[in-house]
Amino acid sequence: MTCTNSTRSYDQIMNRIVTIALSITMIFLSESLYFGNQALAALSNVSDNCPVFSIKYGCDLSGWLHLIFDGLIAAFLGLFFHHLAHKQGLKLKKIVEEHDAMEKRRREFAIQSLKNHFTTLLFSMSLINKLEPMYASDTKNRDNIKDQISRNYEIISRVIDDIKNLLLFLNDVLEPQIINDVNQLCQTIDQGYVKDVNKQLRLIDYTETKNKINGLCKTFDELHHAVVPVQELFPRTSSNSPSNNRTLKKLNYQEIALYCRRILKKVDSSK
Amino acid sequence: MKKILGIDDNADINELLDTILNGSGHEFIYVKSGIEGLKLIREKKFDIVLLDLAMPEFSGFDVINSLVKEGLLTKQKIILFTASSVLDSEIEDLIKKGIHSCIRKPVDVDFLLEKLEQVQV
Repeated sequence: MTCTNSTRSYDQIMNRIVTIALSITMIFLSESLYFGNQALAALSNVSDNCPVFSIKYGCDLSGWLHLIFDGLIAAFLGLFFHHLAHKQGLKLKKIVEEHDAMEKRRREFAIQSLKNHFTTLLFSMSLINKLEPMYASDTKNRDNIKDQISRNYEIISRVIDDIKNLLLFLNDVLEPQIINDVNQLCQTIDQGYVKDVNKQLRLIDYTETKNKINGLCKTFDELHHAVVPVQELFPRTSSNSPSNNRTLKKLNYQEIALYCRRILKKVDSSK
Repeated sequence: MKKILGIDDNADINELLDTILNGSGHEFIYVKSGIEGLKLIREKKFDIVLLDLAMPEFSGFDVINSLVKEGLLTKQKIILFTASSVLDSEIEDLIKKGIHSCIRKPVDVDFLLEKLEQVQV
């Protein structure tokens, strides 16, 4: 949505610049034709006693007049161009700043989502680890426990898919090292599915995975230490929030989430 | 046994916390938005509230601000349970306001249970 807005404002600026440039060219041409003609007329009155820029009684002063006029017009045009350049510079600066802010928000959203996914992974894996011994010992509730274990495996599988999609669509805001590490982690967890003698799915190396996740989160904090303060990240909906209007104008957490969900839906439907 | 309320928009985490905490002898219920959470806090008494900050529409900060306004912040122990890169200074400010502590995601189940046990009601 913001990309479209940025493109629109860029187009608007370009259109305005072209219009102004054309107007100035037209003014300059008409002015040159008129004053050029006047200057030539003034030159026709030049004689040995009265050079173009002489100030004497009985001499033509239009040479001076043209010089003053031209000087004033040049000064006006100079100021006008300076004003235009300054104004467009400010607009471009604003666009760049908005783009940077959006990139920071997208990065923060990516990291937050990854951390949430990691939490889900840790919880599910931990539950599986706790349920497995119960499955072996508790013969009464075996079916129920098996269902719970399967449910957690489903969650893990889905979360890994979500992480991969997230990396795909937000890879422009994440460090390559992080993307690589997260991919490796997903691979490790994928490979962690093994079947034991009871043909029950079992996840290996929980501690190793946990340590990898903790290491990754430390890397996040080291590489992306310049975080967006949470206060600025989310839309303020309560009436007492002072930056309500300002924040809502910008791309916010909710919009990023919706945008990503829309993309993920497209990917799912294309599958 | 502690009565715990979870406020988080992540459905998976809510479900898993439900299994883990209810299975560990606590009484846990959860809601998916800040507004619902605020309503429940007003109506019922909880020992601990696990509050996520990053929620659309009505964020964790909005919940805290509303509780401060209504004088309900100290009615229960509020623990921030967040994946946001909250600055240490922000957490300090919130603790000064009356927040109990902050647990940063991702977190291990054992660590979470240990932290919850440490909270004195």
